[in-house]
Amino acid sequence: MDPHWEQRILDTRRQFFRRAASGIGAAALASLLNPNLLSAASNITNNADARSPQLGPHFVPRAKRVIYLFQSGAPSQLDLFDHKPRMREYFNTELPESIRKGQRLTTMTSGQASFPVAPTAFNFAQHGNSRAWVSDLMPHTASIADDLCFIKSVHTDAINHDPGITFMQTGSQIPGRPSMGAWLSYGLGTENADLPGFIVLISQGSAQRASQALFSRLWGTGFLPSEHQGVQFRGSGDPVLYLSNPAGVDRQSRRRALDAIAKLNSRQFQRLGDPEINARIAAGEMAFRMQASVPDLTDLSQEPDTTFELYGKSARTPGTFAANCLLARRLAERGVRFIQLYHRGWDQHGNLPADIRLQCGDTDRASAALVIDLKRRGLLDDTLVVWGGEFGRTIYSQGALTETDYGRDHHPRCFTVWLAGGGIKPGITYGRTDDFSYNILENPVHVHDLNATILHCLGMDHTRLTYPFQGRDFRLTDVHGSVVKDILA
Amino acid sequence: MTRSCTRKLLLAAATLLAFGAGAPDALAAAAAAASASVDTASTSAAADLVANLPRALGRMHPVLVHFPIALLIAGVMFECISIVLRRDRDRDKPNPAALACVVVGALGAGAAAWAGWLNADLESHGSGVADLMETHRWLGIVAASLAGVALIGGLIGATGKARAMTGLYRVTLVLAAGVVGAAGHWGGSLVYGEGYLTEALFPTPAPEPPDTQALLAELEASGATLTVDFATQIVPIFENNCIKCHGPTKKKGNLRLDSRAYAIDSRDADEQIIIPGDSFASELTFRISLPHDDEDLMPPEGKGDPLTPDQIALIETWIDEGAVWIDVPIVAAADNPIEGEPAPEATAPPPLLFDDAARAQQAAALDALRERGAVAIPLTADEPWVEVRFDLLGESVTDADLALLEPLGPTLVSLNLAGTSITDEGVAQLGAFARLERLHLERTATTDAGVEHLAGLVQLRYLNLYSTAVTDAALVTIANLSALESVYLWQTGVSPQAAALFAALRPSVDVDLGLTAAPAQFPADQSTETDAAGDTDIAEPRVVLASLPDCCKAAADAGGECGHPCCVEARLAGETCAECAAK
Repeated sequence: MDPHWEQRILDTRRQFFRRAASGIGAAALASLLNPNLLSAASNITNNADARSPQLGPHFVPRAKRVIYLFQSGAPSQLDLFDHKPRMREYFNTELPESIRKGQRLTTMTSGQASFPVAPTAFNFAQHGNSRAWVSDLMPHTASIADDLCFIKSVHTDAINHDPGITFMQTGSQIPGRPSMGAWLSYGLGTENADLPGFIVLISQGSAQRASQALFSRLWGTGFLPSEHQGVQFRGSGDPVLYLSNPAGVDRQSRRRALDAIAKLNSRQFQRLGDPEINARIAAGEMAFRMQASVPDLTDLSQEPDTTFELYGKSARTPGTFAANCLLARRLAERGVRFIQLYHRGWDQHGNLPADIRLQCGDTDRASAALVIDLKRRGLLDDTLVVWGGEFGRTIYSQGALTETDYGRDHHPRCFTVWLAGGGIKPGITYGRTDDFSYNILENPVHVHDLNATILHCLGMDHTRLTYPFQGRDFRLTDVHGSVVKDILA
Repeated sequence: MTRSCTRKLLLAAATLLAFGAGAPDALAAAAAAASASVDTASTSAAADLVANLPRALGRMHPVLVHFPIALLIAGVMFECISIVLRRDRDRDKPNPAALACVVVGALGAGAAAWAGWLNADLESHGSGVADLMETHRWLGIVAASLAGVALIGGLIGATGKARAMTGLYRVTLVLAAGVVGAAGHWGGSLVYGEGYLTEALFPTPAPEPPDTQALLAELEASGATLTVDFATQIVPIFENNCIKCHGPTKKKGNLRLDSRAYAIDSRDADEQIIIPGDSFASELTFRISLPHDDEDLMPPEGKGDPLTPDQIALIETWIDEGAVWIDVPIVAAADNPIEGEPAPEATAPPPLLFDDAARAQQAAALDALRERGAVAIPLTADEPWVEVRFDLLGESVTDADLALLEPLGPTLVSLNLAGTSITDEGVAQLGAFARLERLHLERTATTDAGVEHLAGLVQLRYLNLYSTAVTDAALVTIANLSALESVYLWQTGVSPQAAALFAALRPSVDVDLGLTAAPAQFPADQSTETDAAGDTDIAEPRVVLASLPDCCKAAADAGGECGHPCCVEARLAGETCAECAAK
C-alpha cells in the first residue's frame, strides 16, 4: 500500500479533533473521503511542513560562494605551516609522555616500540606584512600570505580518513548526513539556474598511486531533498557524461522527450506525493540546461595565455588540480554556490619528504593562483576559499627515522587550515600549538566551529539552518559549534 | 397579554440563551456532518457557509447592543415619568410605552448577549483584556437576565392581576438599565481601550520627555557601546507591530509604546514591562517570545504576525543594553497621522518606507527582471534590500534592459553588469540608485565619462572596473566616493603611479591593480612549472610620496585620510593642491 496514503489515514484522534476544532474539520473530513482533493498541496505539508527554515540568508552575507580546496589524506602541518624550530634539538628523542598523555593512536603506530620526534626537513621563513610562517615547499602560497588567514589550531574528533573527511564535510563521522555544500544549496538556493549549486572536482595527487578513497556520499544530500546533491565533473573526457545528444537526436526532440517524461512523473507525484519524483524532474531539467551551459564553462580557448602562466602549464591538462582551480574560478564567476575540490594523495605515512614535495608541486602554485585570480577580478571579496585536510600528522615518525626520510601518522589534535576572502580577516594567524605541534595552547577551533564560521560568512546562522528528519531538527553542526568571531573581517 | 403567551416568550428566551452558549460546537458539528455526507466541491461551499455562520452571527453583537442600552434606559425614563404624573388607575400597571420599550429591549439584550458569547469565543481579542472580557461577559448576561425578569414581571403586571409583579418589574428594570449601561461601558473599553471615556475629560498630562541629549552624553561618558540603534532598529518593530493597539488611539491594557514617558516613566514600579538591563525579567520580551499558540502572545492572533526571532533578539539586546529610548516620533505603520495631531516631522535621512504597496511593487519588478533572465534576489529574507545580476546573460544585456531596475529604486543595493553590452549611457542611469553598495561594471565598455555619473553613490563600498577603458581620470570621481572600501582596476588604463597616489590619499580603500608580488625568496621547487613565474609577476614599488602636500602626508602616515579630494585632483593634474598649499 502507498505509505503516504497510510500516513494520512493514521492521523491520531487528537490530530483529527484539533483540526476539526480549528475550523478546517470539514476540509479534513472531505479529504479523508476523497484524498485527491488535497493532494496538490501535499508536497507543501509533506515532511518540511511549517517548521522548514526560512530560506535565504539569515543576515546580510559577506560571502556568496565557497571554494573548498580539500586536501584529502591530511597534509602535514609540521612540514608546511606550523613552524616548530625547537624540534631540531629533539631529533630522534622519544616523544615525552607529558605531551602525548596517553592519547589514542591509530593501529598503524600504536604497536610501535618508540615514538621518535621527527623535525621537519624543510626550511621555514616568515612572509608578507603579516609575517606568517610558511615552509619553502609552498613558495607561491607564501607570496599571498597577506591575503590568508591561517588557523593553526583546528582539531577534529576522527582519527581515520573516511570518518575524518565525513566529519569535516557533514558534521558527523557516521555516513548519512548532508554535505556542507548540500546544506548551503538547500539554505541559499542557486544563483545560476543553468548550473548545479554544488559542484565537485577531483584530482589525483602525484605522490601516491593508492590514495585514500573518496565516496560520492561525501557530496551527498543525506536527508535533504535530492536536488541539493553535489554534481561531480569528471576529470577526463566529457566533464559530464552524455552531455552531447546522440546522433539523430536534436535539442527539440530532447526537449519534447523531457516534457513527456516530466508529465508522466508529475502524474506519479500527484498519486504518491514522493518528493524524490520532483527531484527527478528537476534533475532532468538541470541536465538539459547543462547541455548548453557546460560546454561554455569548460571551453578554455578564450582564456589568455597569461591565465596559464599564472596557474601553471598543468592547468591545460583536464583533471589536474590546477585545471580544477581554474575551473573553480570560472564556476565562481558563474555564480555556483559551493565548489568542492578534492586533491588526493596527502597520506604520507612514509617517504614524507619526497612525496609532500610532489603534492606541493601539484597544488601550491594553483592554490595561490586561484586566490590571486579571484582577487584581481574582484571575486575574492565575496568568495570564501578554504584550504585544508581532514586532520594533521604526528610529530613522531612512523617507521624508520633518518635526517632526510620519515613518515607521519594521523593526528587529529591539531592541524592547519587556511581561509581567504569573503568575510575573513586577511593576513592573520589564529591559534597556537605546543612545541611538538601535538596539543593546542590557545584558541582551539573545532571542526564544528570552522563549519559554523563558514556558514556565518555566507549569511547563515548555523543554529537556524535546520531540517526536520526522524523526529528532530538536524543541522550541519549538530548541537555544537560557535562562530570564530576573531577571524571575521 | 395572556399567561400562555408569556410562557412561550420565556421559553423562547431560554432556548436562545442555551443555544447561544452551545452554538459554536453545535454548528461546527453540523458543518462537519454536512460535508461528511457528500464529497463534491459544490457542496463543500455550502458546508463552508454553515461553518462560517456562527462567526457571522457573532459579529452582529456590535449592532444588537444598541437596542438594550437605549430601550431599557428609555423604559426607565417612561416609567419614571408615569410615576411622577401619578395617574391612579395606572399605578398598579406598567406604563404601556415603557413596557413596549422593555419588550424590544429585553429581546435585544438576549440576542446581544448570545451574539456576544459567540463573538468572544470565535474572534480573537487582545490577551491582555481577558479580565475586561470576563467582566463584560457576565455583566451582559446579568443585564440580559434582569431584562428578561423585568419583561416577565411587566407582562404579568400589565394584566392588572398582580401588583407585586409590577413592583418586581420596576425594580429589575432599573437594575437592568444600570447593569446594561455598565456592560456597555466595559464593552467600549474592550474596543477603544481603557480610560477612553475619562481621558477626554481629564487628560493625563504628558510626562516630561527625558533629556535625550543628556542621556546620550551620559552613555558616551560611561564608555558603553550600543549595538542596537533604537531609532532605526527598534522603532520600526514597534511601529509595525505594537502601536496600533498600544498607542495614542487604543491604549490596550493601559499601555502606550509611543513614547518613553508612557512606556516606562509613568508606569508604577510593579507595572513596568521594560526593565532596562534585564530583558529576562521584562514582561515585554516575555510576551513577544511566547509560543505562537499561547493566549498571552503579543501581538495577539489576528492582530499581526508574531515577531521573528531576529526582532525578538533585537529587542532583548536593546533592553539588555539599557533600553535607551531616544524620543523620536513613533506612529503606527501604514496609518495616516491621527487627526488633530501634527504629523511627525520628517527626519533626515528618511527611513525607507517599505509598506505593502512598496513590497508589491518590488515583487513585480523582481518578476519582470527574472522574466528577462536576470538573477534578482532579496539579500536577506526580512529586509527590503535586493541584488540583481545581469552578468549571467552576458552580451545580450543592453542599456535598455536597465529600465527594468527603475522600480526597485532605493532597495537596489547590489548590481552586477559584468560582461554585458552596457555603455556609458547605461552607467549614467545608475547614478539614481542612491543606496547602491556593490557595483560590477567589469568587462564592459564603461569609460571615464560613465564613471563620472557614479559620483552620487555615497553608499558605494565595492566598485569593480577591471578590464574596462577607464584611466587615471576616473580616480578623481572614485576618490570622492566616501563609503568606498575596494575598487578593482586590473587591465585598465589606470597607471600604477596614480593608483599608488590614490592609495596614499585614501588608505582605507583597497585598490587592486591585479599586480602580484613574485614568490622570490625560495629556490624554485621541483614542480615542472618554474619558468613562467618571473614573467607574469610584476613587482610594483610603492611611489615615494615625498612630493605630497604635508597635510595629506601627515594624514596618510597616521593611517587616516586627509579628506581633501582636491589633493587627488591636483596631483593627478600634476599641480599642488591650493588648499593644502595655503596651510
